Amino acid sequence: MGFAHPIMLAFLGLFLPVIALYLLKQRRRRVQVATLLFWDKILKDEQTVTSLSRLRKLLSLLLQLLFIALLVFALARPLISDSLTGARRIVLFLDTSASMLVREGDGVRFDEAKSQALNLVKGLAQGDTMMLVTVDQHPTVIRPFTNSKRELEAAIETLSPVHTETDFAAALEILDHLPESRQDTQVYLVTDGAFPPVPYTPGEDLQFAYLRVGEVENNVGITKFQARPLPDSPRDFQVHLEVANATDQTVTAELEFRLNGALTDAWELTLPPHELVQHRFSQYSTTGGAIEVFLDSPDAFPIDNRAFGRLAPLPPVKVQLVMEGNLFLESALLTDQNVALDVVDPAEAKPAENYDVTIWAIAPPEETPAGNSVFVHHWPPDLGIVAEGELKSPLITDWERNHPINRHLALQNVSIRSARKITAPDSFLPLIRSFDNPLLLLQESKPGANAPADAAEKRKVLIFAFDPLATDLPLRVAFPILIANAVHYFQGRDRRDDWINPTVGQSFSSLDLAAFRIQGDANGSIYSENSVVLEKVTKVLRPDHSEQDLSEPGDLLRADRVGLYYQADGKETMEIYPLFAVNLASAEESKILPSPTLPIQSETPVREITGGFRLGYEPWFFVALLAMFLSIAEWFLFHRRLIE
Amino acid sequence: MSTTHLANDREEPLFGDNFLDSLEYLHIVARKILSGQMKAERRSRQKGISVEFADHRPYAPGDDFRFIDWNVFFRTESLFLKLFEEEEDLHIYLLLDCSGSSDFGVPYKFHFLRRMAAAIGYLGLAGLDRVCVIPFTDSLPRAASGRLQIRGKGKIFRLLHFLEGLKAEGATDIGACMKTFSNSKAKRGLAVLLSDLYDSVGAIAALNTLRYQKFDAFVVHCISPQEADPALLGDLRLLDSESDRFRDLTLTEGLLKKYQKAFQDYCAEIEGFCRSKAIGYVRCRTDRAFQDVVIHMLRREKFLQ
Repeated sequence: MGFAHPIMLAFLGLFLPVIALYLLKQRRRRVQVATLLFWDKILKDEQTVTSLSRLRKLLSLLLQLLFIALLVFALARPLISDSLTGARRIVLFLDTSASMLVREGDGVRFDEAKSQALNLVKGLAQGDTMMLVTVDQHPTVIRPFTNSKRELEAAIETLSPVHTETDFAAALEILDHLPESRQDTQVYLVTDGAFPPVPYTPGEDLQFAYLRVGEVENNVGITKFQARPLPDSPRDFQVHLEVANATDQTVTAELEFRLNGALTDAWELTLPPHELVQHRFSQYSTTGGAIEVFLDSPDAFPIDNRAFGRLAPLPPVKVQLVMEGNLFLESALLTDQNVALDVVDPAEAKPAENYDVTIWAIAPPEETPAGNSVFVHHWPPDLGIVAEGELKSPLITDWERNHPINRHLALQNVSIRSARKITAPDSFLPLIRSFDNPLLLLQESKPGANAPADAAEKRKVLIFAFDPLATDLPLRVAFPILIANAVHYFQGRDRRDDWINPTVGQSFSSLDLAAFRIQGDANGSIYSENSVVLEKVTKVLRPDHSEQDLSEPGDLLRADRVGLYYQADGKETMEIYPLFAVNLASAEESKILPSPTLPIQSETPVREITGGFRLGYEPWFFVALLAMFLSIAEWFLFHRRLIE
Repeated sequence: MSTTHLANDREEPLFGDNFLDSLEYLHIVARKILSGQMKAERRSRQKGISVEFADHRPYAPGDDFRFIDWNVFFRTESLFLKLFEEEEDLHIYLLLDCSGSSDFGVPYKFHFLRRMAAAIGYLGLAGLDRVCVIPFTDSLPRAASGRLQIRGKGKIFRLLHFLEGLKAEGATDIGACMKTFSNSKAKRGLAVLLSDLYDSVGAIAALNTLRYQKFDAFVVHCISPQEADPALLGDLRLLDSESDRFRDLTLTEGLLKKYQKAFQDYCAEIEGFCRSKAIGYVRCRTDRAFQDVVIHMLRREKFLQ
């Protein structure tokens, strides 16, 4: 045993003045009394009293000397081995995953977990050090080894669970990289253990304790969610979801679908006990916006009862209609809100490259323009299509039902007065036929296809072999659908790029978010922008309605809350379209049944933390405590004058 | 019962402006209590010439023939003299303790003793009794100037002046003093002993001496609050006020309780002795008003009756 401050032992010299004071004869207070008659009488055993008094004084001196010795000893701070003090090295894993938000009584599981963690911190003794690690999708060391209770308590108080899965395997890897120590490391897992046992074989110097929180086990929730647009139909999207029933009873729950907050569809799902039920449905939207699926199941874990998606708005299709008095065609285009239509006279026709598609409802130019074109009843001769006569009242016998241009079309019994009988090169795909005679032809310049090798490499050409005005097609529903399908197909935008489904817990910089941003143009139309110079997103509205500022370089947005994230820079159009949506949709996390045992699967027996003798404090503390008791004893002896 | 609280009254005048008023008040109270038993109406133990028959005794040569009871002679043929109770003035002896132990306490014990002596003396003078003040310590004053004998109410100022001139100092020997007093040629009468009686053996012996010498004894036992309940604790050197003796001790609460018990036992012993021997006794603390003590003496202890 040594001393941390041996120089303090010099204070033992205080013995000398104390002994000197003891040896000096004390001057008594002189009091005159009328007579000593009675004092003589009661002090007949004077000799005994004097002996007792002397003994008492000697005891008092010894106590004083012992008090000084102990005080000096404490100041010198004696050092003894850690094994006697029992200083511990503790790693505290605090589960902050989504399942800690399961309602338990008046609070949530995390309230109990936090309470247990704080109790552990309060129980820290002198010399103990603790590392605080939160465990969710990305385990994080909140505090490295420290003995500051205040720091640890403050850190725990600020923690709150996130809506992510638990990755205890990654958390336990931290134990393999701890600095070496002579002490054993005690590992406390404050969690519900609602995850499969983690395969981990701890070292011999690790002891574990599982502080289980939570009791509730019944839950019904969405375990998978995916909303995807149809690749060739930008207005259509499909939602695929999976619902798990983790109860012992069959549950009937209503599933609601909302588009931009408005209830759009609903289904009743019957969920057998401990079964997964998959559900798929298609929806249609021309505007895009926020979608939400809500499973109306009143259980203790509401987070997995909702799933969210972001439906990107359709970009406007720039259409130039070159015509003279074709009102049916113009009306059909105007019915589509996503079409930016320019109707021009033939003499004022603009270069087709400026538009997504140019519709030539009159005699076309001599050469096929570079852009996408639709030719109605007439076409440029350079396309190689040869007209060989006229078909009287042709009957539509077949059409490519799976082609996007023909989607949703019903063309039976269309009455056509006449059509041109044509022969087209192989590069043209007949979409509608009357027996062997094509009525609607499509030429696409795809790489590897039979495309011309000239400037029309990216060109699409659609040719009507008949005049729609000479049919009853404009009077049918199929006509505007056909026109709309055609112009959107010609726009050629693959909307799958607009569907963003980040995983919960993912982090984004302001530049990442800029890619998700919804841009507006001068006409008030909005579309997502991927190709122009990106403007940073500086402020984001999170699902819990808090705003996060990302204006400083290096600021990151962690999408750790389930829901919709909006740009919050004050532009009204941004309030409709979220930047992205985040869902839990985790089968593991929806299993909220707490584990009864330590959720570790080890090849060797796991050492559990046991109690035992430990000093808990440095020796100086006890020495000072003893000195204080001696001081009190001396005070008692002096003031109570126990001489009888 | 009124109580007097004084911080330190040693420097105060012994007999203040209102002192005579207090004495007159006591005289009026005394007259009511005694109700006509004043002036020479108190019987003496001394046999003498009077109209009231007391006893017979055999004739002895030299006796006055006039007092022979001839009726008895005719019946018994023996000579007997008639004895009559002698009516004479009452002698009141105020035996005042002037030892060092009286020079003590707050209120000042010696002031209290002298005021008590003045009050009793005034009552005697007002009843035309002979009042004799005899201060004592360990001996009686030998010179005549050391004591005062007066009669008549008009001599009250001499009494007060005499008391003012006294000092409290020296040792106490009550037994020796009372023995000397009772062996003197003083006429028998009322002997009022005003003292703190701090003489365990001498006090009882002194009272017995007075009793044996046919004095009507009355004890005014005066104690100060500091003697009855000393407010002392700690390491002390107690100095005796009558000698050079001292005692070192560590005074604790337990020891203090022992002292209080010893003090109370002593007072009870003195009082018990007086009661058993029909000696008038009054114990007074100096923080009481002396008038109250005097009235108590008149009412409860039948003083002067």
